[in-house]
Amino acid sequence: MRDVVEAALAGHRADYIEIRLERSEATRISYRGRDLEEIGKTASSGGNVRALVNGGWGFVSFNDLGDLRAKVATAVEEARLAASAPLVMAPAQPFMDIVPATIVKDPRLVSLADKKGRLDQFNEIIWSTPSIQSSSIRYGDSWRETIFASTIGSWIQQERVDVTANIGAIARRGDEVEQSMISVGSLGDYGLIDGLDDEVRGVATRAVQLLDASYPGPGEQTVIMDPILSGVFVHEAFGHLSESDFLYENPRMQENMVLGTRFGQPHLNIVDGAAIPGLRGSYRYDEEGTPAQRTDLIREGVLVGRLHSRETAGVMGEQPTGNARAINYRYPPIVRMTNTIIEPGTTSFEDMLADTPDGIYARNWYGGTTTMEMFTFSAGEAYRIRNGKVEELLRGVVLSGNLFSTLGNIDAIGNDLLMNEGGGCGKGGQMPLPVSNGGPHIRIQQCMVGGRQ
Amino acid sequence: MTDPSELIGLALAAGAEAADVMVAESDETPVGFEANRLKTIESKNSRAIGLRVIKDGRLGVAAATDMDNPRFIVDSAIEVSAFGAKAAFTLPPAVIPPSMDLVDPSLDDLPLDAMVQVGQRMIDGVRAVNPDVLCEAGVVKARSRVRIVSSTGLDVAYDKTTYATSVSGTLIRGTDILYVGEGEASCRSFDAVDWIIDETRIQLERAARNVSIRSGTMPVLFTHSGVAYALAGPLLSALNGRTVLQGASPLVDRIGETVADTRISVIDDPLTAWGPGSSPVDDEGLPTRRRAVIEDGVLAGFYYDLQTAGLAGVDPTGNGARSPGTLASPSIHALTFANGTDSVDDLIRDMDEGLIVELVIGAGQGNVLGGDFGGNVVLGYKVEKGEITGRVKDTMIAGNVWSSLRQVRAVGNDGRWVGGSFYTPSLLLDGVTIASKG
Repeated sequence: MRDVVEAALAGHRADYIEIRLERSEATRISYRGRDLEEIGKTASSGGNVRALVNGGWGFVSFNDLGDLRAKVATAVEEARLAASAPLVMAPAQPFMDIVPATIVKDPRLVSLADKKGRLDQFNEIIWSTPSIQSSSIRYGDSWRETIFASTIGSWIQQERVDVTANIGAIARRGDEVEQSMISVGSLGDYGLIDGLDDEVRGVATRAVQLLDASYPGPGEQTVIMDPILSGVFVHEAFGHLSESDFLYENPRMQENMVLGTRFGQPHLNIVDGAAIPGLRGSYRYDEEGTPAQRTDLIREGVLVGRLHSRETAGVMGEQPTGNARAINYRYPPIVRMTNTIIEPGTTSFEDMLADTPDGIYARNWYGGTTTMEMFTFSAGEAYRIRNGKVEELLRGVVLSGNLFSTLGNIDAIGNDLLMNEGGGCGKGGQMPLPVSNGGPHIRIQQCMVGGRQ
Repeated sequence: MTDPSELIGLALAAGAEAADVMVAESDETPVGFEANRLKTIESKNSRAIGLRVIKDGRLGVAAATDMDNPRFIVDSAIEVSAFGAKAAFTLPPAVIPPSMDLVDPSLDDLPLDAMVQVGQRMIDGVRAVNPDVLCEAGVVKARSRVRIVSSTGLDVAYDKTTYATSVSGTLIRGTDILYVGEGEASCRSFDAVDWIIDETRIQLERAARNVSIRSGTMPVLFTHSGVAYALAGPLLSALNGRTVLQGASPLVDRIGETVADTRISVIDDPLTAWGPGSSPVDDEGLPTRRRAVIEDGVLAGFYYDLQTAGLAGVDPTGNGARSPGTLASPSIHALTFANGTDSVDDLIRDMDEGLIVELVIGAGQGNVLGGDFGGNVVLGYKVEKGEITGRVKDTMIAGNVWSSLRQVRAVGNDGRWVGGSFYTPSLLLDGVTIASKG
């Protein structure tokens, strides 16, 4: 295989060519209601070629691995047609490496009977809760092996094992329907599934409680977010803005993102990196063969870094950061987050709460999006804070804000840290990409809360 | 190259009572522009073959992209079926589906140069309106084939070509970001460049100034994309036969009841010629047909795949969607709202105070099951005394589809397709809460 690939790469007239080959297998189990709804297995194999000629990219993706040289020729021809002006990518070192999967408890060694048995137990926990109308469980595990080769001389084989679960409960009373869910994931650890009973119980209880919860009423609020929600917040409210592909050809946007610009108070520190080990977004090399690293984005409230591919780094005169990712062989790599973290500070959650006369305490997450200026995300559960105390449950809490002002409105940073590993990020049609994000409890002033009156 | 009949034969030999195979192949050529110029040309070829079995009354499914590995597929499908759901349906019989206008042979011959020119024209046209807009554009052609073969003698296949052109621009002033753009999609070739440029020009003109809006309630005019982004999600969720079966839809047991204003009629239309959402059969091989889901405000039906219909004890509706590696689940082909009679220009002129919503983010993040919609208005305009005064910022909307569709002030006569599989006019609705920083 290696000689075939290297022979296919040689002797074309292009500035740069990569070949990616991939094999994967996946198992999926889902429940919608009392019984298992679907169980299935898939195997996928394929590859792609990406070629660069004078700033133009050609990309060919395929399942049939035959005639690789012809596919490279096609990609080079497409790149030539797309060419405009020379593009200098950030330089790269060639690497030759074989990276085995990070495995803690291999899902491939767990029998289908055991997996189903476990999910049956979760379903039973949900259904044994009064007022539950239905359940929704989606479990998946996958193994993937990729080979990366480039005209720089790299040959990198990497393996990855992924586990995800999304477990939800639906409660109903009369015409009112409410849903609560958790999304969890891990890099190579089926053990994630072992410890979920309490959380599943919580999901069922919360769905029922939501039926009686009040709406927050629209307006600006002080919001304390738990570590999981602060992770989603940093992903939507800052992470995407750090992805340099939105910036690198956009001079006006670059004016808003000059290194050294203050984005938050001195207690704020944000990092992203696949080099942080064992998390859902961790890997050794990105999809361009750049070694993963840990990139400081905000240090003491000031913008100090951003996330790059070789192309964006080259154009902006900065260093690649190992953030070029593709969800699978059908897509070219683009700049993506990996593990994104607000670093802990010094305030305890108890002190933060006691110091909040009025507001919302929001936990867990339900979904998030951004437009690079505005972000929106919703809380899995939320409570009214009155006089420093957590009071009644709220529902329909959708939080929104402006990326450029909200970080500065973080006025307290907790001394704890938890990671949300259940996220699947979507960008450029490539979703769900495994990512993790997290932080401590944080408090944000003047957060916009949407909702019905 | 594994023949579907071979897979079925192996499955039956392994003890399955019934089996069907889905083969899906596609070739796609996207031409991409970034920062106002041609950037990427791609050719993407993909294929997969999947086997669904019913063995000992239980369902299993497995798929591979490798067309030469029948053993993996059969062994996996049989293995998982032991744990699978009890099948509540039998495979449908052979059918000869009607031929449909879904293939435009001229697209196969469409040269890359021509596609590049279309993209550049869109970008040049938008920048002629405002040279500070930074544009991305996409021109994509594709051809796909789906084939479904079953142990009951079904063997249907159909091809589809698609062509889509779109431009999106960002106009950045300080940290203020305005997104504009438009696109069109069809199974056949078209030239919508002038229309796309014109729609984008209108957005740029309307959004030229940022204006403030009060918090509270006021009439909201959802444009086509507004309806698609904000309202479609909760609507589709409630009409989905699986959600209904779970008892999680607000519409359970309400067939025949009034659920919306009499001017609201919604049809699932899989038969529109050249429609990207159209197909002669669903993914289980059932013939498709036009079906009313809401008729003059009265709930007329839900949409089902075979298994969900079987469990619910109703007739199947030809709405089963799957990919080779999954079982089928209910899916709308093309949701179409009936056109109304009101001119949107007149509606705007008659608005003393109101909001026009084009684009929201976060619409899917509330209680979609319960019918809630909402989010941050990324592109929306304030109307004051019949005039659009400018673009609103830092503004959120919230409401519930089953409340707002009963508070219809007007249905526009401007029905059109959004993204090829959603047809709607503009809708002027009450019952929407607005929260704005001002």
